[in-house]
Amino acid sequence: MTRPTQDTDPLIAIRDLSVSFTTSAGPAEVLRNVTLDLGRGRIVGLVGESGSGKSTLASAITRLLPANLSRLEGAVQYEGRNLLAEPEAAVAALRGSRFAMIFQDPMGALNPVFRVGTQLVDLQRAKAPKASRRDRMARAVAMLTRVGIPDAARRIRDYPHQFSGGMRQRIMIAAALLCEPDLLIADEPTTALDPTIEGQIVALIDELRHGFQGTILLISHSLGLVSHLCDDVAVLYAGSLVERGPAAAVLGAPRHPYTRALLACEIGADVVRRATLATIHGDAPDVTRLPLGCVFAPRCSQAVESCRAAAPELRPVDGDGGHAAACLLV
Amino acid sequence: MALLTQPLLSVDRLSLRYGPVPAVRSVSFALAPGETLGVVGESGSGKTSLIRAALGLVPPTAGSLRFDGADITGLRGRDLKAFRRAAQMIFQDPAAALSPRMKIRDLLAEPLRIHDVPLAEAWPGVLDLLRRVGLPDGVLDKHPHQVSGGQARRVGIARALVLRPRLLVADEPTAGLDLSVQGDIVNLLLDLQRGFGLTCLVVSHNLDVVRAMADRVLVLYLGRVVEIGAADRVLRAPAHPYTRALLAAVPRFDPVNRPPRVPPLRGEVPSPRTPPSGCVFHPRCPLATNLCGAVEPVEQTLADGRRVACHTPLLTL
Repeated sequence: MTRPTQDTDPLIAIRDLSVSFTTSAGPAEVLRNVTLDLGRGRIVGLVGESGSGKSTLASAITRLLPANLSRLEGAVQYEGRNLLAEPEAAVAALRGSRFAMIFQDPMGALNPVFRVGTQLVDLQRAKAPKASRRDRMARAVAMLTRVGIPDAARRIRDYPHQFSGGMRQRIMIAAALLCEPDLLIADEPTTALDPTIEGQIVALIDELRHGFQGTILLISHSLGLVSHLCDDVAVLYAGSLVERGPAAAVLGAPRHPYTRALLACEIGADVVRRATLATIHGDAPDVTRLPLGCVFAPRCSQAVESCRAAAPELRPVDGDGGHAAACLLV
Repeated sequence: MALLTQPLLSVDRLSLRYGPVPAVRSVSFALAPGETLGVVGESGSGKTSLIRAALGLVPPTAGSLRFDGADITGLRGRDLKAFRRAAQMIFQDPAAALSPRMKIRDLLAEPLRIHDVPLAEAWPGVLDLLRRVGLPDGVLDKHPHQVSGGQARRVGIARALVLRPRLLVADEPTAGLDLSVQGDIVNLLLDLQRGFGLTCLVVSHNLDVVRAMADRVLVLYLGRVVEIGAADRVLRAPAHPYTRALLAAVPRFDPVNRPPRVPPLRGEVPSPRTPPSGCVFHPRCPLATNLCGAVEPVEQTLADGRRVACHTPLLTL
C-alpha cells in the first residue's frame, strides 16, 4: 500500500551533509553533499553497495560517528534544530526516546547477561519514567506477542541466546517499537537471516507499519525488500546521492545510469540457465582517491567528457514529484 | 532418470550423525560429468554436512560414495588424497579460508605442494588460471586482506582450480557479495565450468543464483531430500510444499506494483535432535493432514523424472 505523496514538512531534513574520516590512506570522503528528506510516516529505503556510505548516513543522523571523524558538515534538521550543531548530550537524549535502531546482528545489540524482559523494561524508562515495573513488563509482553514471539509471557524471562536469530530480530523490533520513536532506523535488518525468516520479518514490518506513526529509514542491499516495503528510495554511490524519489519512480523508471545498472544486476525469476548475467564493469572508486567530476563516470557506459569535469548536482527529473537524479545526461 | 554416462559422483543413502544428532539422513543423488547440481535449504537443513560428507571430509555414518566408478566410502590416507585432488572446494568466506599470513603466490602454490606437483612445471598453468579468473599478476605478492572482497573470492576460486579438479564444490559462492559483483562471480564460475569441463555442486540459499547455474536442484530439509529434479522444472513448478515456500519466501524485486505477498512459511527449522514425527516438514506445512504427522512419506518419482517425498505433492503429473 503506498502512502500519500510526501508533505512539505519532513520529519528529518538532511542538507549538504558531508562526512570524512581519517584513514591511513588519507582522508576518506565517505559522504559528500547529501541532501535528503525523510518524510513523516514514510518508509524510506536507502540503497547502495558496500562502502557507498549507507550506514554512515544513518550514524550521522544519530551522531554515532567513530572517533576518526575528520569532517562533519551540513545540517540534519529535526524539530527546528540542527542535530549536527547540538551538544552531544542533547542528541544522546534523543536516541532511545525519539530515534531507535535495529541492526543486522541482533545478538550484538542485546545484552547477553540480562533477561530479555529486563532489557525491554529498562528501555521504556526514557519514554515513560513514571510507569511501574509491572506496567512496563505488561507492555513488553504485549509487544513481544505482537511481533510474533510465541508464549511471550514465559519467554520474556529467557536470555537472548535462548532465542533463534529470527526471534532475536523480532525482539529487536519489539524493543524499537516500545520506544515509540519518531524515527526507526533499520540497518540491513534481514541480511543475517534465512530467506524464509527474512520473508517473515518483511511481513511483520509490513503489518506493523499500519500501527506505527513514525518514519522508517530502511537500509538494505536487497532490492526485493526495498521494493516491497518502501514509499521512497534514495540511491547512494561512493558517498554521493545519485537518485532519490518515490519508490515506484526510482525503481520503476530509474534515470541515473548507476541505478539502472544496479537494477539490471538483479537476477530475475525468468533468468535462463547458464546465461551471462548483467554486471557493472569495474570497481567502485576508493573514497580516499575520488575521481574528479561524477563519481560514477569511470564505470558509466554513457559518460561523456563533461561528466569528468564537475560533480553533477541532484536535479528534479519529473517536475515537482520528488524524483531527482544527479546526472548531466538526464 | 537414466544417465547415459557413468556418474562422476554418486551418493547412495548417505547418512551422517554428529554423536546422537542426525545431520544427513539417507540422501541419494548422482552427478553426471559436466552437470551442475544446486543444493538449497534453510540454515540447519544439513547443506554443509551433506557436502562435507560427499567430499569425504567427514566419514559417513551409513551409505556409500562412488567417484568415477570407484567406491571411496571410508577411504583414508593416501587413497583419499587422490580423490581430494580431483574434488576441490570453494569456501564461503574467503577471508577465513585464506591464511592471512601467506601471500597469494604461496596460497596458490600450497595445493601443488600438498599433492607433490613440481612447482616449476605447474606454475605457468597457475599464472594462466590467474588471468582466467580476472586477477592481475600484481596480486601475487599481496596478502588476502590487501585485496577487495570480490578479488579474494577470485583467489579462492583460482586456488580450488590449481590442481585441475574434475568436481568443484562451491559453498555459498556469492554470499555477502554486492549485487554487481555477484553477477561477475556467477559468470566466472559458468565460464570456468565450460572451459575446464567441471562438474559442480553449488550450495546456496540464493535461489536466483541456483536458477542461473544449476541443471538440477536438490532441496534439503532437516537432512532429508524433499525434492530433487531438473532445476527449470523444480524452481518453476515445485512439487513439494517446502520448495514452494522457499520460492515464495524471498521478496522479489518488483518496481511497479506490490502484489499481495504469499503468507510466509511459519516457524523455523526444528532441531535435528528431536525431529517431528511422520513427515518432518508437517508442523510448518500448510497442506499437512493427519497422515503427514503419523507416517513418513516415501519418495516417489514423477513423470518428469523428479523425486519428491510428500503425501500430498502439489504436482502428480
